[in-house]
Amino acid sequence: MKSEHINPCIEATVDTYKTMLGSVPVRNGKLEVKTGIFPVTDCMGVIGLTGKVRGAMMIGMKEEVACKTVGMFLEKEITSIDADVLDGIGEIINIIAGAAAAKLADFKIGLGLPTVLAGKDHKMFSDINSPWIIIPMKTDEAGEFQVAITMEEV
Amino acid sequence: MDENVFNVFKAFCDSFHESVASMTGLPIKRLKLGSTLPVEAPFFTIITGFKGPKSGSVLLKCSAAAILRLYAKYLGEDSNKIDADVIDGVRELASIVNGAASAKEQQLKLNFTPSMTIYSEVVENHVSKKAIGAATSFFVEDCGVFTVEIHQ
Repeated sequence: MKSEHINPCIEATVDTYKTMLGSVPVRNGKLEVKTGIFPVTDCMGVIGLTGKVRGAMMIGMKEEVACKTVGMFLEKEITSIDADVLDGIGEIINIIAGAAAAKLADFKIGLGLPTVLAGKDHKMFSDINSPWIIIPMKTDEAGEFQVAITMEEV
Repeated sequence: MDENVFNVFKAFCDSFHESVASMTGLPIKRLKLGSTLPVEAPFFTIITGFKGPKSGSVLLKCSAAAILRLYAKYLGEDSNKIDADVIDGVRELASIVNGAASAKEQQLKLNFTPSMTIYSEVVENHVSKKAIGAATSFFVEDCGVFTVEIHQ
């Protein structure tokens, strides 16, 4: 995992939020490197990356933030998690990963299908060889969220 | 369901059935396509993305208790706590199943993304409106329920 992988993912997140949600996300703390067992957020969308890299991107947030975020995306008020919210989270990570893949064109990245999980008290397990880089972010309008990346060149 | 979608689904289900039968020698009851049994909490969800003619994800779900019992049968060692060895075991099981499925459907040239392992008391995995989701549960005798779910 290299910094030249991380920055395009952050830029892709900012661009996507600006374009699709009309909101400018900012960093909300230091990057964290996670391996082993670590807690993750209530609602998360993950998408696999193939090509000259193997990896995944994830966006995670609390339920109320997911409702606000997708509400901004769909331009309607949403107060509880439903299929539209979960579809919206999948679509947002798909767009972010697509934008990141375009910025990392040399790696010819192919995207998998987004998977969205919702629940409480998730823990994720990461191999020591595939650490996750967690990027805390927030928007004034929706609240705090995380973007996370794991990527290795093949 | 088009032929490729069905073949991918069948390959993962057959691979799970054959791999676990070969690892443990235990009888396995496979439910019909679309039939699932509840998996007791807390449980693991191992998500692996794949890309080929069809892109998708395969999710293997099993309770912590079931995987402990499965590995006790496989390794002949009892373990009653979720530790790094058990987690490695879960990931290894997913890796065996995915590898076997890929070998069965070589013409599809499936590329896999790294597996993600989620452990939770309560989790709902959502199938996008754009995707086809199908799942089948397996009851492995003396171990419990394992569910293979594919989104394409």
